[in-house]
Amino acid sequence: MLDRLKRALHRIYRPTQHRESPGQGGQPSNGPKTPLTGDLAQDKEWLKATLGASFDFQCRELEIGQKPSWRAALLYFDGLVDKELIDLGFLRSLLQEIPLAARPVGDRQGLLPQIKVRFLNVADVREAESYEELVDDVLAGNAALLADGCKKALILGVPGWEHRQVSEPADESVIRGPRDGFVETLRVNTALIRRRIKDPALRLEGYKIGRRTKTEVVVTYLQGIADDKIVEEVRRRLLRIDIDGILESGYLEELIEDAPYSPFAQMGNTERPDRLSACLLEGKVGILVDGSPIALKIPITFTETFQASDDYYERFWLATFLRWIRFINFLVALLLPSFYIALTTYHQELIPSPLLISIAAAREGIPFPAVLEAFLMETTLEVMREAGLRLPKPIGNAISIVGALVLGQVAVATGLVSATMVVVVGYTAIATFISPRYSFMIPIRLLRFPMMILAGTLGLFGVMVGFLAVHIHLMSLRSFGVPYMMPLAPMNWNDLKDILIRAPWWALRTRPVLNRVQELRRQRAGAGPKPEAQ
Amino acid sequence: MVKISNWQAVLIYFAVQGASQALTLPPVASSLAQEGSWLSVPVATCASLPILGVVLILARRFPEEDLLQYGERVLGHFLGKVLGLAYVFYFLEIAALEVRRFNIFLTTDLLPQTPPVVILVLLVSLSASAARNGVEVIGRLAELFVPFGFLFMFMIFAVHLSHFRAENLRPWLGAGWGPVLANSLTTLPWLGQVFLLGIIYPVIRDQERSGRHFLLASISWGAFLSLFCMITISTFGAPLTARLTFPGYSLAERVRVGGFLEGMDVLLFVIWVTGVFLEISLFHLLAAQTLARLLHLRDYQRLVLPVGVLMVVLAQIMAENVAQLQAFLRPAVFVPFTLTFQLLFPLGLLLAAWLRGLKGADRRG
Repeated sequence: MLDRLKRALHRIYRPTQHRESPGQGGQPSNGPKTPLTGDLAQDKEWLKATLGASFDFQCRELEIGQKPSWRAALLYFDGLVDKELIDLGFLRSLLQEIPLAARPVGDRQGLLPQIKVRFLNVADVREAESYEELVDDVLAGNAALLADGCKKALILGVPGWEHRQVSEPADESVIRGPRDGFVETLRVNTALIRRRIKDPALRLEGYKIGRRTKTEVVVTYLQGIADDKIVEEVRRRLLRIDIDGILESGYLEELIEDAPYSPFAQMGNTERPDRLSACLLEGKVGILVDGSPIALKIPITFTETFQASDDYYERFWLATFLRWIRFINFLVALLLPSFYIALTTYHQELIPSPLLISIAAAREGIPFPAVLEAFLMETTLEVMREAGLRLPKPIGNAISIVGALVLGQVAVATGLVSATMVVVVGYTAIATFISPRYSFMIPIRLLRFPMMILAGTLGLFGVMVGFLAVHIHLMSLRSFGVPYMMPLAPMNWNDLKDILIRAPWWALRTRPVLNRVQELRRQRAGAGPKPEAQ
Repeated sequence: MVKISNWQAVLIYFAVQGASQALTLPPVASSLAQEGSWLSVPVATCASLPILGVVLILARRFPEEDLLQYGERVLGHFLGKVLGLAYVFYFLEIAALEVRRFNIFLTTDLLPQTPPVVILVLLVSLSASAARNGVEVIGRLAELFVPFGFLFMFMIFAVHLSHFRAENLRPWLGAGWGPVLANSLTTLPWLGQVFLLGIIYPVIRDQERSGRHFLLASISWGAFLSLFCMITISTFGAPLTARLTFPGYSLAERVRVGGFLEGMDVLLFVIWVTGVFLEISLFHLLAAQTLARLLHLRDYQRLVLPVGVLMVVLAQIMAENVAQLQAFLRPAVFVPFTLTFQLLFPLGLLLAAWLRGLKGADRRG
């Protein structure tokens, strides 16, 4: 029945499947093209009509050369291009050097090619022959040079806009490890990756997605290590997208995932170039989206919830210990409130007597059943968290003080909730933050509520039903064909060395099998450290 | 085609066995063999090995086909379909029996005021969602949970071993072998479920090594169960054990270590719920798949829900209370019923296939 509902939803929201209509897929537009006429006035008119009355659109008229001289125009969007580069890079050479040139610059048709080869001191220059290319390029932050009588235009790659500097990521901060994070500019991000992996096999495939935003999307992987099938699947899914705009990698994530109705994230995300590089080296595929500092990682498994970047930089004993702290607290975050409800409501005999007495004493005079009490506290907590999150920092702090002191302390004092419940809910809240991946704990936050209802109505049996239901779902999930619960189930001993423990680096001799890597070996056998002979 | 590994199949088998025996411990539940009742486990294990042998030989003959496919080829369309229908009934019956027993336990012990149908529906909807996802998902769930089940069980054992009273286990054969053999008949129907390994054989990935694994699995389950029974008898003494409704549960309840480690019965309960869920998911899946094959449906998923409804209804009408359930589980009724499906039918099929010289396509060929 659920399936039928899903299909009905699909039918409503996807009335027709648009197949590869021009320019909307991933590849640069290959739709119908209108060639340039070569008549400068006409071309300019066409562009002005297309771009409308945009006040940031600039059209600089030029006259190149002396006897003969040609009329030309430089088109760009103010704010998107690097003005300094335009001034020094070619306006000067166009206006000053051409007239002084020893060799004449040729006829009308050959003018622009000649200029390109001889006078432009800019690295990135291309030729464009159609209006569509021209408009796309100018909108992307390039400048275009048109000359009268020439059926080609020169595209000058001089993008330069204000952008955030590379800085420490807000989300995944580390104690030890590099401090740089991705920014909103794609070029900077790709450079951050290239700087770390200087391998010719590092591929950065460009796509343009979004009919209107024409967002640049880069799929990155290590050729010969990442599984070709997964890469191909990523490409296929990206090309299937038909949407007007991509403003954040979150859009892509929902558009290409395997189980669109699942609350669980089926793609990893990271703000850290070192982490993405590590993933690439392990044979994963990354997706970078222009305008978003968050990169996606594919495929991903559930166990990523427990892996932090620090794990690989700190000594492995600590990392292993922390892994287990995370495992246990993951279960706590999901189960503690419902367990508490189930035990106090239905199975008091299972609680050791001294503890039972103190719980009973704390619950004395509480007007609500444990479920309602827990609901009250959990909802308050979520409200506080959401309210504190959006506010400026100083006010956010005030909220947490009010929340902690007033709500916690006073609610207990007035007998609205029991002190033990405050402890349970408080600890659960902290446990929710234990995962280094924020997005992985979101489903746990959500699933806690149905679990509490089940515990309140059916006791431990209800908790088990909820727990098993979650696991049935997790077991049936796949991320780009890789079972979501791998390497736990199906079990893979090789991969457990980086899940249950974090084996020291010299023992991580092979890459994870679950990424279906083409080359498993990562280190030569016996290359580990050896104590010096005395 | 979805495949599972031998290891997963073995763990599913352990889940089936654990769910049906961990709480009630059928070998010690009767006062028949007194102190020596645990001895009936090895006896019954030995008796169940021929069943495993027969179904494995049969399954090896037709490594790619399921029961109904080769059933129809060997017996002809009509008889094959009748056989298939009979097995659907058997799967449903055993699953209903398990949920009913679970339900009775829950109602008497933990949730006295909850209407039974709520528990039945919840449990069956869980198994339905697992069955919808196929044997692969059931295998993975078993792979994740069953090892923890054993870990917890061994923890409970370890606590009890510290005050193991060997005198409670003597005399071993106070009344000779007769009562032990008779008692083993109460255990045999459960241990005979090993025939399920033959039923799921076609979905196993590494079939060459299945035989060894399955043999080892059934022997180790026998050993585990013997240990379980020994510890229970040594803890409670034979007369008391025979009077307990859920000896396994009582064993877990008695754990008290250092004044804080109590409530091991929660653990046993958790293990048991998971086991029952895995067991009925398997039966649910098998019933729906066989039925779909019978009706020439392309996918069995559509039948999962109807089969679930049947299961809930069947569970409610099969036994009103514990007494009726016990009456059904009497060896005189239950042994012939189960053995028909576990041994008789596979043996008949094997003989017929052998006489007619029929063989399935070899996987490697």
